Amino acid sequence: MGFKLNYLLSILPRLIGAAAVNIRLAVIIMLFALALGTALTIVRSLKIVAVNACIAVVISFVRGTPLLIQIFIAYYVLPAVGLDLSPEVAGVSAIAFNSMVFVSESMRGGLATIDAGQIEASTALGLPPHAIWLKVVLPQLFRRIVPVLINEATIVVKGTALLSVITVVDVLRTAQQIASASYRPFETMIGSALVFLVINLVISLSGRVAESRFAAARV
Amino acid sequence: MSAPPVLRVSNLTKRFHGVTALDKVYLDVHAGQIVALIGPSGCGKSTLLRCLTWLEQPDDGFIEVAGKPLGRELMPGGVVRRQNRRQIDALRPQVGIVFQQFHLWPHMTALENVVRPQTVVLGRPRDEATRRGIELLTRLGLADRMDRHPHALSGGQKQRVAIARALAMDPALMLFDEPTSALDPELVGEVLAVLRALAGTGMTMLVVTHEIGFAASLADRIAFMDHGRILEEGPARDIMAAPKEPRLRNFLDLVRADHRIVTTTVTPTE
Ligand SMILES: Nc1ncnc2c1ncn2[C@@H]1O[C@H](COP(=O)(O)OP(=O)(O)OP(=O)(O)O)[C@@H](O)[C@H]1O
Ligand SMILES: [Mg+2]
Repeated sequence: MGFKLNYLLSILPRLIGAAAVNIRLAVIIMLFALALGTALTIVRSLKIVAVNACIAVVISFVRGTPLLIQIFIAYYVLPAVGLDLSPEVAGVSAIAFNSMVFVSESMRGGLATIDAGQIEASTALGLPPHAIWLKVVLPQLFRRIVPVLINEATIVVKGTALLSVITVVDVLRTAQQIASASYRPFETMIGSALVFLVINLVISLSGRVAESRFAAARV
Repeated sequence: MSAPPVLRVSNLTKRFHGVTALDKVYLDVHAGQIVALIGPSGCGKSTLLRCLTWLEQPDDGFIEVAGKPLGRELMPGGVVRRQNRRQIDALRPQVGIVFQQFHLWPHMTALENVVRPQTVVLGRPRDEATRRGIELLTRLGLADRMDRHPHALSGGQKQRVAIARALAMDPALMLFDEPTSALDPELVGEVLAVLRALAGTGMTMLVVTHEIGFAASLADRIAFMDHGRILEEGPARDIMAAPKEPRLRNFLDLVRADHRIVTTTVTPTE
């Protein structure tokens, strides 16, 4: 059974339709990851020893275990402690939690490059801490970690494919369904790979545009 | 009763891990006065200024700005009460500080640097804050640089923006920590000119400087600090003409002999 371009083209519309699910979930995940990652960064910057010790344990768990296992935990283990989540919610929670850690880690790296003198000048002017975060630190931090965020977004998009194993009908699961009905895994897998590739190329390109704009402003 | 001094520092003491940076400092600055703070490197000048905006918390002593206690207050019955961040922040705009390294916000234009703290801290309407920002920057000779980001400004221009940013808060007192020592020699003049002009408007100022000539010509009073103590303080003319403290005499001799030696190599030895 050879490769049939016509067959690939014929299933592309269904795969692209399913991509809407991956894109929607990826957007939600990134929004949560950014918000939670920012919050986590601020909490860590308070340098409360006990809190940071707990966070360090969580971080090493997230970084040291496969994302797939984290997704399974959210879907199969959390119900045992009374948190019965739908596949989408469980999946989004798991990936967002994972991504939050990476966002926070890169923000913490960026934080070290922001000159402490600026913060002192802000403090001396009477800016309260929340205003220093909002007006001074975060705007600079986000610009600085754009490349990392873009990279993280592509990882998240790829991560959404993992949700097919907990029954979310995304590009990959749609492809599997098509393949099992048509016995043509070759075209269907190539097709789903292409769909992810295109999404991530768009993300990378727009990221590059954003980066060069910030570089032009040199901030 | 006469008005309280704009700044009253009493018994201010600050230690860093056992090193005494400020040792029972007393200092009054009255409205309209310009006080130059001089002394060898490491004697505690920056630490004093940082304490006056509570960037550094003194271990002991009191600070009063325009009659109001800052940071810590003495309650009736001798109880000392620490102010919370909100109370301190409420007083901070009263004390403008200008640093050696400018510390502008790099992601904002010059004008935005001056406008933002007014809207955020003082709650000024944006157009009023903008008007004030334009007025100040124009006065400081930056009318054609307002839309630039700090990276596109020279050191002298950055320092003038930083001065405008502090002035926009309508402070009762301006603190300058060696405002010209990070500048190329040819840019020092423009910042000193701004300080002179500011003095002309009656602004109360406490200026840490290594420019002794400038201190002598601009300041009403000079305070000499060594080892965390203000050893001698008085009218600028008297201090320059007839210093009493031997260490001050030494210091002035050295400064007059070679200005560069003082800023780079003098260590606080007896
Ligand atoms: N954050 C700090 N931690 C520990 N020691 C400090 C700290 N800041 C200042 N010191 C010490 O306190 C003393 C006074 O320092 P300060 O910076 O106030 O001196 P200065 O008079 O401003 O000197 P310079 O003329 O070099 O700027 C010095 O011995 C310095 O090493
Ligand atoms: Mg200093």
